[in-house]
Amino acid sequence: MRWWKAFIGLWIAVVIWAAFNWIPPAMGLGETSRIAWFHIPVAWICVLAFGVAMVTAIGYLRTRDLRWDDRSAAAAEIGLVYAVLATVSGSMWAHKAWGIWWNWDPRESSIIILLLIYAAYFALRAALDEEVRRAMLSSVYSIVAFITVPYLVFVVPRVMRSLHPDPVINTAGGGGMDGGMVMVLVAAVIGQTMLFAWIHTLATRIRRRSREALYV
Amino acid sequence: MSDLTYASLTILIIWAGIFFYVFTLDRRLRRLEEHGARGWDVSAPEEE
Repeated sequence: MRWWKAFIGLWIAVVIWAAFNWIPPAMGLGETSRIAWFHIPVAWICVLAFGVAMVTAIGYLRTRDLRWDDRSAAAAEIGLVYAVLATVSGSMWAHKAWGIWWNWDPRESSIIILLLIYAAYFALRAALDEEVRRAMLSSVYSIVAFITVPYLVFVVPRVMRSLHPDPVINTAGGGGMDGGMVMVLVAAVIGQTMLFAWIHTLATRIRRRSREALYV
Repeated sequence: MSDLTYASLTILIIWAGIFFYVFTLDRRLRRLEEHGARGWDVSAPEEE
């Protein structure tokens, strides 16, 4: 599978090159707009990972196979890491664009709530020693937690006044981006998604092996 | 600091975060494969 990892690395390298050399800075945002081609895919992976955590949690509840719980916890862990990265990069962008690191914008508030919700998920897992009980309760929690994600990520920033650039990708013409920008953004999202798939297999293997080593 | 340098720094922080996480995962997996449960938690009793 080495070729697959090399392909992901090459893809991401091309995206980084294109983001700096192939497309111009966005009108009105200047050079800092280049942050968007990395910040948006990171935020997307955050939502995807929490979605995978929910789907695999359903898989556990249907089959009672602990391998599904491994997949679910691994996805939630990746989602939490990416949520932190989206928060940090968003805050750095806000510092340049708005002149302030943090101003409790609806999107900033939403991601903090998401971070707390998924931090609580790991607090729950850490509090339970018995693996079946832990898998059961955290699966239910993961499903309930994901219900808040579409609301916090897609609804709240649109119904409340926000400084955040309004839907960067929308159905009415790509939010003012030209074709090259859309292409780089889509390529960056695809690159991060492939990277997520690989990281997820790695994180899942760790959880399965540690469970087998501790309990079998 | 110019806007381009600032954007590069922000993007570098994103990738540094991802690489650090992947590096940590890889190290945890290697330890698990070499030492079993002790690789996961070094305070755990050594396996028989």
